[in-house]
Amino acid sequence: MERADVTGWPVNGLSPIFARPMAESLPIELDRLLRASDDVARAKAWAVFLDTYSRLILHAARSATTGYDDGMDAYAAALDGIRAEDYRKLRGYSVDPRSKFTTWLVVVVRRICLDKQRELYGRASSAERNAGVVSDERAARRRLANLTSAGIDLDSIEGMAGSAADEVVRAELCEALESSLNELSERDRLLLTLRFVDDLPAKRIAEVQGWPDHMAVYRRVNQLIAELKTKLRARGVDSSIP
Amino acid sequence: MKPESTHTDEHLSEIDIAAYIDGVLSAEERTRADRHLSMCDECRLETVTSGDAVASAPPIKPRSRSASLWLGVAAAAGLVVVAASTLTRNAADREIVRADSTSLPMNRPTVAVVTPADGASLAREGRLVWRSFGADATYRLTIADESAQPLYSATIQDTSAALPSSVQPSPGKKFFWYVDAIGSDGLTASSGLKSFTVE
Repeated sequence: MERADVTGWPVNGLSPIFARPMAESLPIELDRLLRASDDVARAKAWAVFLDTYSRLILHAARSATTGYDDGMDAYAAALDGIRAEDYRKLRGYSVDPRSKFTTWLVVVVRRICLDKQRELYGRASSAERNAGVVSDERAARRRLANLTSAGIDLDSIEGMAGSAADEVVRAELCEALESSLNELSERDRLLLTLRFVDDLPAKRIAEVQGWPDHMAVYRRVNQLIAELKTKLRARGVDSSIP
Repeated sequence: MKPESTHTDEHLSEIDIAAYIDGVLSAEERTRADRHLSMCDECRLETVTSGDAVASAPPIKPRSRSASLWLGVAAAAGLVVVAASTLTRNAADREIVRADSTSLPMNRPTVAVVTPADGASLAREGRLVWRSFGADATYRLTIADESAQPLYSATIQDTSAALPSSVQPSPGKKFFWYVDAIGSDGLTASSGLKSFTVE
């Protein structure tokens, strides 16, 4: 097909209409649905919207649940949630369409499903939260083991009930670590949290935080550990145990 | 020690999480989000698992007319029309579909052109003719000049139209044209971009 030669057009031939920033254009199915002026038009537009996005909605709903039946229940709840209050959630995207619509839709559907589960089953119980605390303690010990030399046996410190002096040492270590961590950037803090608290593999961390690849994650983690070791030594933390 | 992971009432919004996943937050917004995520287990878990769901999501099924009707409406509004060989099917997903009929997806409905054949000559008094897209379908015919500037656009019920005098069809002049059809069920199709030269 012969390409039109128009002065001032983008080199790739895209009309300026489609070269507009993302925020200015909604998916046509969404646009039609939100503009529908009566019940008949709205019903048709909703059918078209579902025809396009139902697979994605089902995928997102299933990702927030386990089991086929729960997934289908979640899918139904997601559709109800999307339609609620004259498609209030969809209108919310039209006001602030920074992200891709498909990404936003996945997040919204998952949140509808998770909110439904919380409504039915409540938030995590105290026991589960306590388990999180225990997990954090374990993660903290792992962090300290990584950050200092291998000479500190934190388990032995933990296990020595009634050893006040060791408790003091431990408290000082934690305080020094916390101070050092607070000096890191938010991005680096999150990186260490994902790595040492959530135990995410480097590849997933790269995807979440937008690192070029998993090697970049490893390099940065190692850099941060080296920096933290230096800071801890400056605060008087060394590898010896009383 | 790291602050105990707790539930906080000020969670990241759905928009914030989606923008974070897509990497479109500003530097300042990103810093705020990172700060919250490092402290909030719930939001962090939601961000990570939602990102996984996005990465493994099935592709969106192509629609029959998303961009082509956009073009017709834009042309009628006096905006600059699409380039001769490209259409953007869904701006949000940045997918490009070629406008010429030879490369439209095989399973996508199209408006079949009867005459003139693509690139052929057309008498000044000739007519543009296409096949019906179904009973009660409506058609938007758009004619553009060689630089793709829209010259004429009209909504009609018929499946043919004479060359309007307003486009000044002088001999040897080349035009681009296309027809968008909207069926009674709301589904649409396009002929794709065609061209003809006035005899």
